Amino acid sequence: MHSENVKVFEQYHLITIPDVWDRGYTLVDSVLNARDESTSVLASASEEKLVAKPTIGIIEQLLDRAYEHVAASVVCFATKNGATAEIAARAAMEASTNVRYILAGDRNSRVLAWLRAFLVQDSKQINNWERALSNHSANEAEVHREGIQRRRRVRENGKNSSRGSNGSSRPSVCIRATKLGPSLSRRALRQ
Amino acid sequence: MSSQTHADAEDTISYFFFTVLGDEQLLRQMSLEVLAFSEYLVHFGAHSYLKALLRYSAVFGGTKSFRQ
Repeated sequence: MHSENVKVFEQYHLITIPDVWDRGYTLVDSVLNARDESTSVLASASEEKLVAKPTIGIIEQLLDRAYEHVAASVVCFATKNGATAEIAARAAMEASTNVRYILAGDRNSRVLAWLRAFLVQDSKQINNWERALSNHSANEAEVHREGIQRRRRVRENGKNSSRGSNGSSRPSVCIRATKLGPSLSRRALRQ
Repeated sequence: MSSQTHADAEDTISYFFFTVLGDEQLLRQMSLEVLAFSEYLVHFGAHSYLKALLRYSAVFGGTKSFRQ
């Protein structure tokens, strides 16, 4: 007997979880129940708490994104797209690891460090974009330069809004995952 | 993690050798392992998400926590 949660999930994603994948039903049911509980945390939060813990909104949004990856991995696996299910599952792990890392320490500082890491990486990509223009004609390069300038202006605004933390930097995902506990590898699973 | 290359090369090499050897049993075993690993990752992704929700609930929920 499938729960109402699982039926809604199947209808929303226009799929049917195969009967042979019993564990899939359990997984979806567990995830949706837990998600409902976490949503009630935000819904029931007092105004004082929202002011005192300003990162709650960002983290809620990050969890929503992580849920989408989890749902996508289930949908892909249920529709016999195993390789893509793996990719979505890895994205779910990374997104969840980010949330857990932020929650495990100074949340304000870590959220800002997470945003700053994106801006730094994005600046590098913009510079690479500019360097690649030497391979384009003058007309094409001009169009790209306009895009580069527009993107730089947007990023400058982003940098200004992310200033003000204690300046902590964001370690790589491997370090963040290591700090959160042991994990399993493909090789370990096969041995 | 999400950008890590899927082990397609390993699977391709295995598929090539098992096909050349004509070993249907190994090919089937390999298929089952690939399928099992994909399912394992789906569950592990959900597991990571549930741990993040648990932490979120503990930090922001105060006395409210997940039902066991």
